Amino acid sequence: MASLAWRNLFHDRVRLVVTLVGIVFSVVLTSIQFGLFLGFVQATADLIARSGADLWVHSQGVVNLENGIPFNERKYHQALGVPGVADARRLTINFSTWKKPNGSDESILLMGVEPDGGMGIPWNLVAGRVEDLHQPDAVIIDELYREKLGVTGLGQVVEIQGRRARVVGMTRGIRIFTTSPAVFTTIDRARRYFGLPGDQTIYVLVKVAAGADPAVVRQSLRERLAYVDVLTTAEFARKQAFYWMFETGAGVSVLIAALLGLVVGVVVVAQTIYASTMDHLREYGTLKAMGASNGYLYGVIIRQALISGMIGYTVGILISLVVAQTSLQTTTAIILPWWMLVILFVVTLLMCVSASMVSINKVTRLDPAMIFKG
Amino acid sequence: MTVAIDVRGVTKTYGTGDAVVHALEGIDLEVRSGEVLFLMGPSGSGKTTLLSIMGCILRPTGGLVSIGGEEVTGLKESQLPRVRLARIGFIFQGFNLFPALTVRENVELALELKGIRGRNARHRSSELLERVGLLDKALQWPANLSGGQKQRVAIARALAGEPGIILADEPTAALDGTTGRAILDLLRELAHEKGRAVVIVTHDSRALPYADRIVTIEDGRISNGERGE
Repeated sequence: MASLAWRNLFHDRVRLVVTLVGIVFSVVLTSIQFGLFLGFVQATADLIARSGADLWVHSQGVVNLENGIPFNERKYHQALGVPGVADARRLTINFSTWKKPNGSDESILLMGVEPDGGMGIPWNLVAGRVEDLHQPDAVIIDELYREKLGVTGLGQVVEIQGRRARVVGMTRGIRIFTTSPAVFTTIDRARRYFGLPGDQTIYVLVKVAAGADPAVVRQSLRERLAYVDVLTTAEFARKQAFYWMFETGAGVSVLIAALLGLVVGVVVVAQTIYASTMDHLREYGTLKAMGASNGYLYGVIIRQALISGMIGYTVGILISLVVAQTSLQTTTAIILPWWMLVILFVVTLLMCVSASMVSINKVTRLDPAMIFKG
Repeated sequence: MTVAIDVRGVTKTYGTGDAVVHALEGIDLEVRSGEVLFLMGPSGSGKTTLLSIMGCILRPTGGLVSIGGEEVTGLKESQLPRVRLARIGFIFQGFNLFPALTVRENVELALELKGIRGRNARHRSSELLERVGLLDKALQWPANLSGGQKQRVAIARALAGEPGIILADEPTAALDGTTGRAILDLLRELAHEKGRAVVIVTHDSRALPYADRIVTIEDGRISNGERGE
């Protein structure tokens, strides 16, 4: 005979749909909220994490990528001479003003890079090449921010800090947590745009030689270069994410929204499963009268909750994956890594089983009158 | 006739302090195998409470209850399902069939609880449905049956474990006169020909001719003075 749990669920299609809608809603809400949080975290630190560098050298006191403090690039040359350093490149980052063709201004994050250095350069180009940055006034933007920057296509001429700039390439998916899109140009041009002296840099990105121990190289750099700090890329990415997420409070609201999503999800699932079990309470009472052990009753109720949870999770995650995929076309990415899907799966099933356990209590303390009366 | 159910000095109270309610006050009753005993009385008199105690669904506050010679009031909660499964079949006013299961599956569910599955369960459920005249409805959903048919399925289900005791709560209340009489005929047959003890809680005066014995309960006490000896 088919399992009573399965038959109970699928006999009343309306009830099943109501139950599943509750679970799907919770799964979508929770996964999207946490996906947004992860998307924001990634957006804060992507420029660091995908820089291609092993170590970052910056002035002491720098707490986040966007607010670096210039230092003399003599230290860059010193870094090149430190044993274990395979390569080093300079990088400047400043907030600047972009004047759109219609005359209005936008804040941008101007990235001054060494186009041939392989570190700190734009990635995932869908139009143009990094080397095109060598052309006069050349800049590369991300296509997600085209509209925001008023760019209709390659060759578009705009102004940065009142100076001419021309779009020669576009990337796809370089998202920035702030409202200022990243715009890449050469370090010399960036310094001119920003008015930074030609012997100043803000970061030095270091590639550790093959076989060298990054920790040892970092220590050597710290000893050789005065008044700077040296962090591994992972450390700096964590520091950057922590700054934006927690020190500014910006991420706290996102995290709170995600946690609220989880709480709402738990409540909805608990209520849905509880109501579903209550609907069958009389049947469980009858089973009990027929001599079913508590173990048998628990088995039916928990199986019912697990089946609902698994179906609801599957549908919910499929919806979330579609939403996440769609979000990649926008400036706000929803990221659903596999480990989060696994955690959410376990959490969903735990929520379903926990909610059914609450109703099990009702079953074990059933008023006999409820079974007997018609 | 052997004593199937022996109730001695059973009391049941709900609540405490000023809110205490005495549902049963010193009930003594014997139900013998092969007899049809009617429990009658006004609403709230304690009939269902007594039936629940005799069915090992509810524990008495005081007194002793023996089922088939086994004293059950001292048993642990976890041991009571075994007693119900082995000795008692229930019939409910609202039939309490499982709407998601077919007629046959409703009966097979009771057999599954007894550990009877597969081919044996199929064979046994066919026998039981044939006995209540519903073998041709085996694949129907309960929702497609009449009230009388549903009650007969419930009887087949109650008989699945071959219990010595049938406890029926208002089994004819939801049925018309003719169907109700057919159900009572079936229950009487189970008592007289199969030697089962059948206890029926009813308000239905038309059912009285089917009783071997009538016990009336009022305010938690047996009021017709009968101890059922």
